Amino acid sequence: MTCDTLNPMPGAAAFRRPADQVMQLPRLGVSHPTRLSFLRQMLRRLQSEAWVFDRPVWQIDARGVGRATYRAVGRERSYTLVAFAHDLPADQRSDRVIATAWDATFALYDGTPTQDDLDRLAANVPLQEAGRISPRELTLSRANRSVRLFDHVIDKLALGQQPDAALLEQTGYLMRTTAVYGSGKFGAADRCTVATRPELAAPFQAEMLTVWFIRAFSVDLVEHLAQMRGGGVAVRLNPELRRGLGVGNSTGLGMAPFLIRHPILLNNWIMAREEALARVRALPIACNDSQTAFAQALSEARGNAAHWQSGHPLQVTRLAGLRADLSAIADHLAQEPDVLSAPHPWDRLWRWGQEHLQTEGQEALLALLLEPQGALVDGLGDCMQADEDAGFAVQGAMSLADLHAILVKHYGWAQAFDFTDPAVSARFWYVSEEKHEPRLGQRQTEEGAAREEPLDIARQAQALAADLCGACVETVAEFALLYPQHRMMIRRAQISARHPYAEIQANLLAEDMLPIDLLRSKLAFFGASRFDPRSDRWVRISLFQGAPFPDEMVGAALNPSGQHHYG
Amino acid sequence: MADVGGLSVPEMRALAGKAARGAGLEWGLAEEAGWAAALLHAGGQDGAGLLARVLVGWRGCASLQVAAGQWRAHAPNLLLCALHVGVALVDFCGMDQGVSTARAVQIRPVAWPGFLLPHLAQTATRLSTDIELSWRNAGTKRLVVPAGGGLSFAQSPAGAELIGLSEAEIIVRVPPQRAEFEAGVWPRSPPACAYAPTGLEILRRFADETLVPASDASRRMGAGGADGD
Repeated sequence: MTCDTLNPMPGAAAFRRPADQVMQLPRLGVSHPTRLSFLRQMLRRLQSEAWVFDRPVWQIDARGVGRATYRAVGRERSYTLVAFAHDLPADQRSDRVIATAWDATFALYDGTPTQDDLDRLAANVPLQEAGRISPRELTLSRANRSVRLFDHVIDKLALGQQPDAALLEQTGYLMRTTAVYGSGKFGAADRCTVATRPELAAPFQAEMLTVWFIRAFSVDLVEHLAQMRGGGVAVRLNPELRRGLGVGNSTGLGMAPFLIRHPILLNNWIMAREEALARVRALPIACNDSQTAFAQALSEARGNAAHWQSGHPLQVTRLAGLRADLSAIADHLAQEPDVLSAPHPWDRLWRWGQEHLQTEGQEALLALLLEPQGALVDGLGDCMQADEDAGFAVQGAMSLADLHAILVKHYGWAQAFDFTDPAVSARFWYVSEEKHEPRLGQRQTEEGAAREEPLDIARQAQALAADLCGACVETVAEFALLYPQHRMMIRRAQISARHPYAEIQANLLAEDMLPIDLLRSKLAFFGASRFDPRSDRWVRISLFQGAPFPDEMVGAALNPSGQHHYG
Repeated sequence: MADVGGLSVPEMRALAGKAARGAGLEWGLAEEAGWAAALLHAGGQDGAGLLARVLVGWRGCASLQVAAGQWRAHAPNLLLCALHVGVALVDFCGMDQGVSTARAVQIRPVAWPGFLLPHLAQTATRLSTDIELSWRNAGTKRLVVPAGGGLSFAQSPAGAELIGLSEAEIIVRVPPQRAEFEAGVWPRSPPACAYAPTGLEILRRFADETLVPASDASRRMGAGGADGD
């Protein structure tokens, strides 16, 4: 964090939750989006800075094949999503990362593309990983149709009717992205070359803009195809129904190692959220406006939870608990009307929640508490980026005693695991030869553990601590020369000393570790909602559900992501 | 593959880090190799080619013996590895054994000393002062590494010479007077990346050594996504 000098509430630090609580994987795995989530930050900026939007190119034929562009124009710069729509045979439609064809492919262009740019992108973007983009592009992505809903909506609109609201709600999106690449991938611009722009400074802003435009494209495409089919009879999608559509996303193991590989970034995300919660808890009184806004947010969250569907047994149980917990919060406020009149009312409510709510309910309450307090917490969004190179150099002059003290203070949790127990080291992370994507293997039954990826932080911390105790040198520099195998862990430990939320306090090799918990913790920071695990290692979510479309931004309420439901 | 440009800096960093790991280096050193190759690449140098040479030869290098003012190979007839030396220069800078305003360090022959440049730049930044690198090659050559200035200094004639050397004994010190070793004005923006395809190919081969063939079990379990709905 670099914003300490700007902190309007230094006293809030006393209300911050400790890392031992926050960084537990089961708790991270029930994270909820908040107003600090990246898509919320983007929408606020686009609205407050009065960005304008247009669709300069629409060259899509009656089969739904062609190209289109969507442009966001700000005071200094513009960005354009270039979309390519394809005629994909049904038997080639797959969300797996090994797929080689998609219903639509996209690149986010830095500025307004020329015809030559469009032609260059047309030759590369549809190929995705097999193509090549340039530093003029910020993202590369693709999406597939939700066939059942996509065809239903076209059928109905072509007949001059609106689609079945229940069916819309059941799926929640017309298209789902299967990959959104940014930050230098496949030749795209390096993030460090654009991160000084205010609109791209917060994490994943180019990716969020990409997905938001894909959402608009998905609706425009069904309306276009309905028009082609139905002619004058066809109608457009009812705005209320349209608002309830997001963009789906399938996320698998590929996203999981990110949080381990970017400890400073993870710290800054968590620190901003925890500081926001602490500031709210430190407020001495709850003014009427904030009480009203909290009640509104609670009501919307209950509606969202009621309509949130999942077939995964784990999520079904969690959802039942969440609905009960949100009801319990409402009941508590109704039965104890003085709660919000007492000193430090939000802190009282928070502490009540710690005693009476399950973990998922507690994290939902965190999001609710932040919702009315934009003026107090939104500025923390500026602290969620990270200069990761600043923490890269090992501090060689540090004494071994100090390094050991860091391990004791920040990695005590790692000492609890017995890695001689096969269940504790049951799995290993690796990168697959087929698609260069992260995978999980079973150590006892599968080959490849010799090429294990270094996500075994707890095991590394144990090994470092053991060797420190036997070392005969004084400084980290000397130790690192003798024990190069510990260099990565030394770096992490030194980072953790300055970044208390840098480490997820879990053994990622354990038999019972749930990769979907890693995925959800990251996706919640994106602003994802309606988490729907499909196994222990991949999840479907929705982005921008309930958010305004580009043509609705002026004066629109930026409701919490996913809080929309069909009333 | 339609190629409309060279590798981006993040791509180079990722590839170089994997290659270093695939070549057998520990993870923490592989991270350093990726960082250093990417910095060279960003500065318009052939980071891929230099790292490839380092990785091909590092197992034949001697381990580093660090003492105040004198860094030597444990085995006197072997060269030192530029990656290991560079990392140690940063780790020990300001300490009794390392480069400081009070002490120079003489380093016995280093293989491919051009790969030291990123870590030398980091050392200068950490010491908050320019540092000077000198070596003998038909006379004494000097190169000033500025603090906080990136790698544009490597575009100087002396920088180009160093990058081309396969080995050199070097001395690293803080120059007594800044003006004595004026760096000169070199292009501030890097030239177009001119990586050698052979270097990239070598890195890719090493990087492949980090990959694991998917097992039937992992295919059954899947990693994400499905086949539509």
